[in-house]
Amino acid sequence: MGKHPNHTSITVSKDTVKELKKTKRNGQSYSDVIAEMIAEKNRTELPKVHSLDNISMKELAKHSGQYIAVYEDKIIGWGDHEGIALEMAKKRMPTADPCIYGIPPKEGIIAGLQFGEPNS
Amino acid sequence: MANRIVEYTWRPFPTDHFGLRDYPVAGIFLKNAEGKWKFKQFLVDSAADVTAINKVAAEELGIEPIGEAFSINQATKQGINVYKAKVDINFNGVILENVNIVLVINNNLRMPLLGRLDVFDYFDVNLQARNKKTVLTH
Repeated sequence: MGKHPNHTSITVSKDTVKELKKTKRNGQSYSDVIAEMIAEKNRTELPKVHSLDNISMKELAKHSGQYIAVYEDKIIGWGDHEGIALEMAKKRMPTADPCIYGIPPKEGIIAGLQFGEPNS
Repeated sequence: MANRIVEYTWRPFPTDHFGLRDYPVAGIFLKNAEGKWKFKQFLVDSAADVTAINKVAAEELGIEPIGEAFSINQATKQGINVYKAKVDINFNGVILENVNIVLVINNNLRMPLLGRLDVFDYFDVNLQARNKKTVLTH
């Protein structure tokens, strides 16, 4: 596979070699081609989203004003900010990669961050 | 060039005084220090000058603050201390690079906010309350 600072040998099929040859440009090693493919995959591949769709409103209401960590339709962590929710989730399910959601407080959100000097 | 359109459905959340209210949220992806995309749900906030996330969330992503902390206003005119940072954002395949954001130091942002700077400059943002969806068009 050519010399590369992070050289790793892999065995690939003849068909794969044919495809790599098609992609390879002048002066490129196969390692360069594969590095480009991995970079492109990382650039475009989006992770699985663990959504709120199957979590009941009753469950969400319990966490109003908090951040929650959601994995496979379950709330596995919560707290006042993302770090606390994620820490709890990692303790309960160390290998899970949950999605973190902010749940609006029941009194609603006044957002609107503005540039300029604050009054207080 | 054809328009690039991204749509996000609003999501209901419970409130004390108005029952279930639909919030204009958008599930978008921020690039972490390893170059991988991480999901975050933002509140699309046309009143926000700038996109904002809590500092603790930025630390988890490996997003580095730039320069000194400074203060900006909430709509209530209360000041909050922030750092500036830059991040790549992926809107379901439409990627904006080096978006200016702020990191809220005391982590009291209740939801990440998708604000105007760099984002509304790129997209026409159409908040469709009747259809309960947000349409971003470039």
